[in-house]
Amino acid sequence: MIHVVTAENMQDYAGALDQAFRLRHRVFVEELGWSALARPDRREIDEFDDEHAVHLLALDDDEAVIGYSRLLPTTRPYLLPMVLPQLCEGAAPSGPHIFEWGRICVAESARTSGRRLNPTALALMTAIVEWGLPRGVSSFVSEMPTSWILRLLQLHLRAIPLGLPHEIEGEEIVAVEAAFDRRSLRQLQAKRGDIRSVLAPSRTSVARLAS
Amino acid sequence: MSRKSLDLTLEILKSLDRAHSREDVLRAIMPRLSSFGIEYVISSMIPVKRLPARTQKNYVIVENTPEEWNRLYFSKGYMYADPVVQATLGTTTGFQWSEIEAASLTERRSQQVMGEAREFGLGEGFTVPLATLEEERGGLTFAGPRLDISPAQRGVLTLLASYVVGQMLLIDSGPSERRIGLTARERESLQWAAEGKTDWEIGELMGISRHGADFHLRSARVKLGCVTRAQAVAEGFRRGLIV
Repeated sequence: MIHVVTAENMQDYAGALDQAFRLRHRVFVEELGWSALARPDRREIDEFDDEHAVHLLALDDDEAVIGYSRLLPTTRPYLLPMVLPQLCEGAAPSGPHIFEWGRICVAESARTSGRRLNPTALALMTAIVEWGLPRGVSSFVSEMPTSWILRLLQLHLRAIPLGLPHEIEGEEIVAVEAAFDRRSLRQLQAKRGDIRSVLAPSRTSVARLAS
Repeated sequence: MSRKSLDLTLEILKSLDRAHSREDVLRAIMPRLSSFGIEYVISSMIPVKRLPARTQKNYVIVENTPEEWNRLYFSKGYMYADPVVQATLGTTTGFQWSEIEAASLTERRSQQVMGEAREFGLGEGFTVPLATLEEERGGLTFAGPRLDISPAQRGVLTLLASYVVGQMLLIDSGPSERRIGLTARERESLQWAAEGKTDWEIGELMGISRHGADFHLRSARVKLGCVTRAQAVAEGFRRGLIV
């Protein structure tokens, strides 16, 4: 299931969040070689991991973090305009209904060699839509390999390029803004073969109910 | 320069978004690409296994190449000798045909494919590798007698490739269903095979002879490009043809 971790419930996820930062280090620094993000404590944490960040944690049945991504509000400085401005031709999108989706990764143990899209990645995408729709969020900005565009379109995520592709760390990367709605959610559910929510019930509310 | 290229991309995407047919798609892209020297577009998925010509054609998503070239390409099994196809499977970023490694062009048959393509007006090309949600691999090629593309325009073509295929898949709603059209009887017999029934049992269930059941299953197997019944069942599941 996907757990949404914000400043409000962070204290309940201290261990899991630490695992997530280690996963980010393993994937982005050690595997993909983004050496600028390397840190001696092997936890990849940057200036955007502040109280405004929304962390999506994919936990398996044993509560191990098997996938992660981060949503950042676009009403504050975020990655695209601050770190990768060359990917965006005009002004970077900004608004309460737009979040930036980044740091997308899946743990080695949860990767599939099959011909289908990784189920953890699909669950993370579904989580954005499930979490976003009731909050009035209707699109995400993301910097991704150009080869992802077709998959987004197939999921009825209407991605529009914000600039031309650029080669970054050996990969061809493009910034897109992808709009989503209920139709996208239905398509994600169809591709997952499951209409049940991917979002885990909030831990704090469970604790409150119990007390 | 790149602002202009992005604007061109967005303008084409707007027309593509309104396209409801293969002709609409071609109308949305081709006139705006003529200044690049582009006259032809071909997009196809690449079958994993060697298939008969008739079945190979089912993997084509959209194209406007000369009919005679098209016929020649499939009837002679050029897909399996085509260095562009090999290069497409070997990379994730767009490439010009002139960038294909010389080593893969030494085979006589590869040279023959490229030579004949040139004769039909496909002298130069820019090919963008693509992968679908189902992890099917394929690509989209822009071609013409001579191409004139700047680095920024490569970006335009790279983006367009995904949107052209995305729109075609949307128009055809469901790639596998469209590409592999099983008849009702082929589908039904495959469904029963998936449930472990023998030819005789399938015949009984469908009210046809055992040979009839065998006939439909065999035909489903050929369409799916499979050798064994088990493979056909697995392929049927994967493509969502059976449940």
